[in-house]
Amino acid sequence: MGAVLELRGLTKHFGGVKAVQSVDMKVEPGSITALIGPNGAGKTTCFNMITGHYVPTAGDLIYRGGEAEERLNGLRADQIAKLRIARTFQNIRLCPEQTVLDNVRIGFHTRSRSAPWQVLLNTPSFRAEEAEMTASARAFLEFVGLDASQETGIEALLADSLPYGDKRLLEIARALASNPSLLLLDEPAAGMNPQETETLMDLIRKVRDHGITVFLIEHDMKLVMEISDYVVVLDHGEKIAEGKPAEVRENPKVVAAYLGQEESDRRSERLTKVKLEESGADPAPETSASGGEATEASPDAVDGPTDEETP
Amino acid sequence: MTLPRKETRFLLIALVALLLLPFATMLLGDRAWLLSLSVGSYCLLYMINAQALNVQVGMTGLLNLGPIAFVGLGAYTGALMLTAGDNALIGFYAGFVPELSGHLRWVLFFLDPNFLAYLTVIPVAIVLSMLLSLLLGLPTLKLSGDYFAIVTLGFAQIFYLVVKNEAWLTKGSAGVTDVPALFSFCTGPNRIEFFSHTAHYFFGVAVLAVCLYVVVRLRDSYLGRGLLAVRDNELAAQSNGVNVAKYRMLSFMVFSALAALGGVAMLARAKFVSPNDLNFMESILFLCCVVLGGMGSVRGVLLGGIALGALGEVMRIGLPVVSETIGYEIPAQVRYVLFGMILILVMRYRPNGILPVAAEEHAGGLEKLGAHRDAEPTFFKLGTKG
Ligand SMILES: Nc1ncnc2c1ncn2[C@@H]1O[C@H](COP(=O)(O)OP(=O)(O)OP(=O)(O)O)[C@@H](O)[C@H]1O
Ligand SMILES: [Mg+2]
Repeated sequence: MGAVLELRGLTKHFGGVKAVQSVDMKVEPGSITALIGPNGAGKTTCFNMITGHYVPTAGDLIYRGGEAEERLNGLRADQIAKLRIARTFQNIRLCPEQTVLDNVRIGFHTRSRSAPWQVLLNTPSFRAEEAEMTASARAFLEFVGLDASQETGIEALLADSLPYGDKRLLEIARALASNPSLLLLDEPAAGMNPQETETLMDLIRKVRDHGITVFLIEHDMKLVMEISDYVVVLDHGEKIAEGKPAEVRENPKVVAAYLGQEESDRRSERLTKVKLEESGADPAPETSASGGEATEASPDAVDGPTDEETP
Repeated sequence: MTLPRKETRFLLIALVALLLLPFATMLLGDRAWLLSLSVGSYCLLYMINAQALNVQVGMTGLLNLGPIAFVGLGAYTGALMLTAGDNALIGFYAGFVPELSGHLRWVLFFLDPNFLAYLTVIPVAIVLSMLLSLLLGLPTLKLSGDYFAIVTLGFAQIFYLVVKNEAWLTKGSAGVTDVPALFSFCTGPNRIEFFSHTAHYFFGVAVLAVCLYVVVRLRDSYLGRGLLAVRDNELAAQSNGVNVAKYRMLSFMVFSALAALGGVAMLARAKFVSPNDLNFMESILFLCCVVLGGMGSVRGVLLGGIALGALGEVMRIGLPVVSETIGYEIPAQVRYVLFGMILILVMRYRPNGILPVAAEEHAGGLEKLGAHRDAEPTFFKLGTKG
């Protein structure tokens, strides 16, 4: 079997902005693949196209995680979710007014088998499904490291009341609840302290060990270098490098791209510092700074569909 | 989950209390009894229609500014079917249901020709109302929520005008009068005093019970969780496999079905329906019940319905009395001013409604967090399909 996910010449333009430009890449089954790049490189836009929130301007998305090979272009987000592709969001998207447990249960949506009449009549099979789902939801909470015991646990708290790091974990639990074959994580470590990031790395490995292919976007280079099997680097919408983490780290193009980031993105400091002397590449601060600003100014535009995109 | 069970108890107690109300107030004498029935049945209509609207506005976050049109459709469908051809429908049932006498008449109430006719009317009203919501929803539900609100507002106005002007069908502004009562023993020579005053009230309680059942069942399922997800985070809903347009349609259709049922209950109470019943203010008052009670909260909206229903009817009956005693005519519209003031006060002091969903047991508990990070997972079912 080939790659779980294949991007072929994937392109997205927003008016004059070439957010993603003819990107080819593959995500191998059972791997942890990372998509990295400076702010505004087009990473989230790629994810949004994969999950059906944006319609690609050009190119193909081939998915082989389901029963048959599927072309994802033109499918709605909910149809793609049914193909067992789950995701988390860069700007956490939980249902803040609902309990932690209910947030996980939303993840089971694609797996519910009861018909509406069974719901209305509250049939034994429907009740059994609900009970199993609830137990399973607690198990997923525990799996991601959120205590789900009924006495001391957080399941009855409102999702909004969780600390930032826990919200990210809750989103992962919800995504896992849909029993995905491909899991997309958009900056899962953002806002986490080093200790939390450490735990997250273990969690991601654990997810992979359960046979789920993980495709993630991350700025934390330590995380990327340690856990990924394969890394793809975007800059200004174009793929500039790919390979094993060690290869990518040495790639002068990557170093150059990240150098330009130095001012605006402190998270990439570690990487750039190491490579600063040997490469001597030309920094290009003006481009990356503008990309970073756009992201800061309109988080919704970056992470959500715009009017033109609404199917 | 202690939440739903507590709620079930609350709802059951409320229904039993409503059932017992006429028997309790009977002890206070005839005047108080009739007043309690009048106020009580009026409250029931508000509770039913507000609960219907709660599915669409409260649970799905889809603003509907014309719910009264769907209630009106239910009432008009009932009225026209029941009166058609000189009460032909009732005549049809009277033809082959044995005529009962004495106490058997109300013990076997479900064999009453009038009641059978009402039961026939209900599914027709529901189906028509759902068809209408489908027609209205298909082109509009994909638009953003604001557009939908405007469409429903416009639709309710059009519905009002059609009902008022197409007299060949709807009897025009005079309305449909002399609609048969819920039971044959409610009127005429065979009348049983007690039931002639209470039948529509008990029918209202039954309809409310059905509404509550449907709403609670729906909410505690993947369907309801889909609706709530659409309300709280559309993007998250989509990514979890919820077809947003379909679920909006679902909420609209459930609303329209329950609202049509509410319309038939309204008809059973008044035995009369006219364009005046389709007043835009009614739509706003139903909405107020939902907002006052707490969006999506079944218990809260029930209380909201009681509060506004009681207030409305008490003022309708009380204002003329007050006007007479002080010798100054207080305009009937004063009650809308009062509603507005109450709404402002509630929104000021309880912005999430009287009984918001979230207020229950979720307060506090933050301090419990943090220490449980290392818990080893004991049970997971990753990677197993189904
Ligand atoms: N809906 C949109 N409308 C217009 N422009 C957009 C939209 N979404 C993204 N862009 C633009 O596309 C470019 C790529 O954005 P994207 O969010 O994919 O970057 P990113 O790599 O995820 O960056 P970050 O690391 O900051 O999250 C940016 O210039 C952004 O402003
Ligand atoms: Mg991004």
